[in-house]
Amino acid sequence: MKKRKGMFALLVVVIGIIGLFFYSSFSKPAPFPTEEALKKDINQTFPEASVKTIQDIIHVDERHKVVPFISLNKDYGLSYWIWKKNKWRVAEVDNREEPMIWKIEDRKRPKYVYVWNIFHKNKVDSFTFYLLRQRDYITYDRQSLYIPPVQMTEKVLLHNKTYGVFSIPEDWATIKDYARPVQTDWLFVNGEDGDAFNFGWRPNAKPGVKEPIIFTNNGESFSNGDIILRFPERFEKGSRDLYE
Amino acid sequence: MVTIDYSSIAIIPVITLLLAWCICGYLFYRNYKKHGGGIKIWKAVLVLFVGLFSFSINLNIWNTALKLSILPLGVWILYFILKGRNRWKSYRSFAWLGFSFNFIFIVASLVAIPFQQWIFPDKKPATYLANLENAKLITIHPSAKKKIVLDRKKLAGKFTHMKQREIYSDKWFSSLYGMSPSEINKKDEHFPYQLAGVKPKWGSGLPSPVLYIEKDGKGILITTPQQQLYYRLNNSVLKEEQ
Repeated sequence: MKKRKGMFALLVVVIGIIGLFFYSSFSKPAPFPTEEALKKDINQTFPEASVKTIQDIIHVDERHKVVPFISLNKDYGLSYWIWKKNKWRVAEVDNREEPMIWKIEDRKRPKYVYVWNIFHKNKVDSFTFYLLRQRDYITYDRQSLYIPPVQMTEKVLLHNKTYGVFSIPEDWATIKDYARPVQTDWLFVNGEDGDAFNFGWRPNAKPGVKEPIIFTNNGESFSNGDIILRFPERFEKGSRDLYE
Repeated sequence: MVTIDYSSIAIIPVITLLLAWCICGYLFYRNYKKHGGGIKIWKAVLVLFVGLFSFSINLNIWNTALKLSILPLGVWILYFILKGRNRWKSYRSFAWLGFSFNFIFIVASLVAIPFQQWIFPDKKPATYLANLENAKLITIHPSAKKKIVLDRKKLAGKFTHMKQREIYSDKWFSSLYGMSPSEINKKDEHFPYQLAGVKPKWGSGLPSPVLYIEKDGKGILITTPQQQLYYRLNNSVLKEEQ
């Protein structure tokens, strides 16, 4: 009898743990904190960020948000928020000048989101974003494989804002999906995702802006390590890597 | 969202494997009958499964992975455990029967190959282009003509008038030899479209193929994990957007 009771207790505990796991991973996220609370939370988690003004709260998806801010030193920064373990947590704070790509792991397929907060808004009109793959030709085991190049572009207007986010279009995600495991037999992969694709970006100057726009990318970043951020490649008009 | 099958069910090997198990079951049943019930059935089954265990080498014949058993490890283990006792004699046939099942499975995989080729020929485009309802044309290169859409009526013509062609890699790529990277990237692309959402025949076990459409809409480059096939059609599958 004692043994049975023990088994029963164990079963209850196991079911409880599984239930808790499902509850925490499928439960609806709580309402997003107010700007005041966000400011406090960032400054507590990453005191170096020294947030002065929250600019906006940008919805990426149900569990991910981006909060652009201006710091005491007048730097334009971004904070990345993830609903995890029943709490909205700030995963990273940075004040880089260039757009970054936030890779959000999802059950089905990863999401890729361009994010930026730049102080060049009076010089930059829009961004052009790229999904790129080099043309390639491989001979392998007496067979040959031709890989057409990919160059997909999207122009995103800044609308006089310093900040913004841009999720890659469905078509880009589809093309990227097709390259995932299907071609691993053939290709020597070089990308971070195990495929040959690269993300790129290009700033487009406002009419009348003649001087080149310099993005230094010497900002700071503070991360809890729970986030994947990447640098897309910067391109100029007439770059040798682009078809124009 | 376009869903991609990375591996669909391969129905032919499943069927031959099921048949192989039926044969194995029958052989076991016959052998068990012969022993006249001297051994408990669960013991005989256990010995049989231990007997299956073997040292094998992996072969790859016609893109099919085969396991060729060489050393009957399971039989040896059973022999060392049971040799001192009388029982070995009565269990021996079950142990060897288990080992011999490995060869039945190999035969099953070998039998599957011609049937697979017959029902899902891997050189026929119809194998890869079976489900076109969800086909979606995606322009992947800026040298493509603007405002071009898929001509679904033509596409529904099941690619009947297709002719296989050599892969003109020299035209598409090797002619670019000696060019600088910037010159190469300025060239128009022969295959500026990808056809997404097409599924292979159900039960073929093949992943969704990567399909590129030629700029005139009359060529299709089918890319699978094993090979690349190039077909030309009489009519374009593309049309101007209205």
